[in-house]
Amino acid sequence: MKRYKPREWELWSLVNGVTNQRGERRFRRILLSGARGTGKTTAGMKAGAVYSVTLHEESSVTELIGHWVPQGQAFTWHDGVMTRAWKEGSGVVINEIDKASGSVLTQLYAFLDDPEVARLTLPNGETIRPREGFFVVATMNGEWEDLPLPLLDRFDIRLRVRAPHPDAVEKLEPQFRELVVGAYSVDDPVITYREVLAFQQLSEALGQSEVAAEIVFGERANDVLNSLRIGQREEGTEEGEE
Amino acid sequence: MVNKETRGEERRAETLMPELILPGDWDKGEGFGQVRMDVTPRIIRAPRKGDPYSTYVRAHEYGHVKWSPLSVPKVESELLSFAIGACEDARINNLLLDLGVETPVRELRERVIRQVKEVKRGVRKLSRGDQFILTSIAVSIGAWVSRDAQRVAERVLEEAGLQEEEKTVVRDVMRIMYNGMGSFETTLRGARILAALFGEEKDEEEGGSLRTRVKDGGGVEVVKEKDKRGTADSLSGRMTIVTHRRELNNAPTRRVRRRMSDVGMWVKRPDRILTDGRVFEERMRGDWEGTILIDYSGSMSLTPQDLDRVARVSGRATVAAYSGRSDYGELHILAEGGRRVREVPKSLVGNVIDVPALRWLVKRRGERVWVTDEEVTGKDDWVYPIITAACKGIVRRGRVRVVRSVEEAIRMVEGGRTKR
Repeated sequence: MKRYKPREWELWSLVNGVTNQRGERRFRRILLSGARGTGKTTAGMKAGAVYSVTLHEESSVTELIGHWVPQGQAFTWHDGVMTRAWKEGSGVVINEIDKASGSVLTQLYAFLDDPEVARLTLPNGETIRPREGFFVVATMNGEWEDLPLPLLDRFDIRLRVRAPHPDAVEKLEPQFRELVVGAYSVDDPVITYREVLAFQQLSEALGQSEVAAEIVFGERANDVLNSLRIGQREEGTEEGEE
Repeated sequence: MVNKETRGEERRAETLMPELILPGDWDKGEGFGQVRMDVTPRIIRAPRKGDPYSTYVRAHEYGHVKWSPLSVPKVESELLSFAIGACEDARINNLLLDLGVETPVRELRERVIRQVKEVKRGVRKLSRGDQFILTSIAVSIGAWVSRDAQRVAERVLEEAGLQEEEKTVVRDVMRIMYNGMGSFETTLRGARILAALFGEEKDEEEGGSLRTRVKDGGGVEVVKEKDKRGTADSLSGRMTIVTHRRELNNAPTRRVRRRMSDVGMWVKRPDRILTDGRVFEERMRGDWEGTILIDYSGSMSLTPQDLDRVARVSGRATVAAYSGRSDYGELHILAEGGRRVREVPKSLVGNVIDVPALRWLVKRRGERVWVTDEEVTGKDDWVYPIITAACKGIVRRGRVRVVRSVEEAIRMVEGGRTKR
C-alpha cells in the first residue's frame, strides 16, 4: 500500500499553523465536512477547543445564547455555549451544524460574524463581543453547499474531509488500512474507521476474527470478512495445472 | 424520525461493498449478480439479503472485482462470449473455495434445478443451443474439488443429455478451470474448448431456439411466450431497487411545532409559573413522516423536475419513483432520511412493476402515499385485470393513500401530518 497521506489533512495542518503577530491562530472560523468517523470533531478538539455543542433539528437558540431560569420569584440568566466562548475567548466545536433549525442557523450568522465587528446584545441587556482567542470549528456530514450562503461565507476556511486522519489510520494493521481506504473512497462509507478499529482490537483480544466481525459488523460481517480475504489474495499460481 | 424499518433498509443497502476491494464510486443495485468495471461509475448488481446464497453471490461478485479483467475481450462469437462468462465464473468460484469461502451447495442445487427446468420446459430432446447453456451452467459451478458441488454439476450434465465423450471434454474444462485458477488466460482456454465442442451447431443455436438467448456481456436469458394467465406476481416485471448517492436535502419542510418549557428565552405563559413553571415557549421544526411512491410511467407525464420538487420538500420522508420496460423495472429511492438524489433518473416509460412497487410501499412504516393515475400494468406494459385487482387490494389492505398528482403530494407533505 502506498503511503496514506490524505491531502485535506495536510491542508488542515497548514491552516492550524498560521498565526498572527501575537502567536494566536489566524483563522478562527473553520468548517469541516465529510463522512462520519474521519476525525473532524477530534481535530477540532485537538486544535484547542474548550466547548463542544451538537446541533439537531430541535436545538434552540437558547443553547447558544443562553436562557432565563426561574428562581423563586425572579429569573436568572444563564449564558449559552457560544456566549460563554465569546466572553472567555475559547474555542468551540459545533457538531452537525447542517442539522440545525433555521433559527439556530440565523443566530450563528451573528456568532460567526467578523470578529472586528461582531456584537451581540443579550436578552438581559448585556452587549458582548468575541474576545481574542475565540474560534469555531464546525463539522457536518453533508455537503457544505447546503448551508445558507451567508453562513457559509462567514467561514474563513472550508475543508472537505473525505478520509480518516492519518494518525488514526496508522493505528491499524496494514490489511485493515486497505479496508478503511476503500470504505472512505465513497461519500457514504459502508463501514467506518471506528468499526474497523474495534474489529481489529476485538480480533486481537478474542483471537477469533469471525466472532469479532459478527459482534462489530452485525449482518455485514460476512461481506466484510469476504472482502478482507478477497482483497488480500492476489490471483493464484499456475502450479499443478494439468 | 427515521423509523426502524428505514434504518433496517439502510443496513441492507450497506451489504454491497465492492469499494472495499476496488476503491471508488460504484452504482449499486439489487440483482442476480453482475459487475461492470469498464464504465464510470462501475456497476454492481447483487442480492442484498443476508441468507447464505445471497452472501455467496456477493462474494462471487467481489471476486470478479478483484480477479477479473476490467473489461472482457470482445469476441465475435456469442457462443464463445457466453463460454468465457461461464468459465470465468468457475475460476472465481474456485478461487473463493481456495480462500475458504464455500459454495452453499443446497441453495445452489435448488437454483440450478430451477434453471434447468426453465431451459428444458418439458422438452425431451434439447436443441444444441440449450445443451450448450446447460453445459455452461455446469461448468460455471466450478469448485471442482468440492464433491457436493461436483455432484450438482454432474446432475446438470446428465440433464443436458451430452454424449459420454462430450462429458469427458466438459470435465476436462472443469479440471482446467480448477488447476489454473490463477489467471484469466485459463478462462479463455477453457472457454475456447467449450465453444469448440458446440461450435458446429452455431447456426442452430443462434437462430433455432427462441426460448433461450445469450445476453450482452454473458449470462443466459429465457424468453417466454406471452401468457396472460398467471398470478399478479408472475405477470409483473422483475423489480430492481436502485439507491443513489444522496446529497443533503436543503429544503426540508418547515412546519413549526411549539412546546412549553421551564427554561428559555421567550416568556409566553407567565401564568404557568404558579403551576408547572413551564412559562417559556420553544419552537421546533417538524416533518411529515412516511413514504411517497410515485408512478413514474409515461401516462403520468412527469418530468425529472417534478420528482425533484417532491424530493426537495420531503424533509425526512422517503420518496421513491418507479417505472418499467419489457419484463423489468426500477424503483429509485429519490429521498430518504433528509437526503435526496443529485439527479433524478429518466423514466423507463412503462409501469410493469406496480405490484412489486406497492408491495415494497406497504412494508414501510409511517404513512404511505401512492401518486398515480391507477393505470397499472404488468410485463410488456400490458394491462392485466388480475394486476389491477391486486393493486386495489394492496392499497386497501396496506392503508395506502392514493393521490393523483405530485402537487397534491407536495401540499400534503408541507401541511404536516395527514388525516386518513
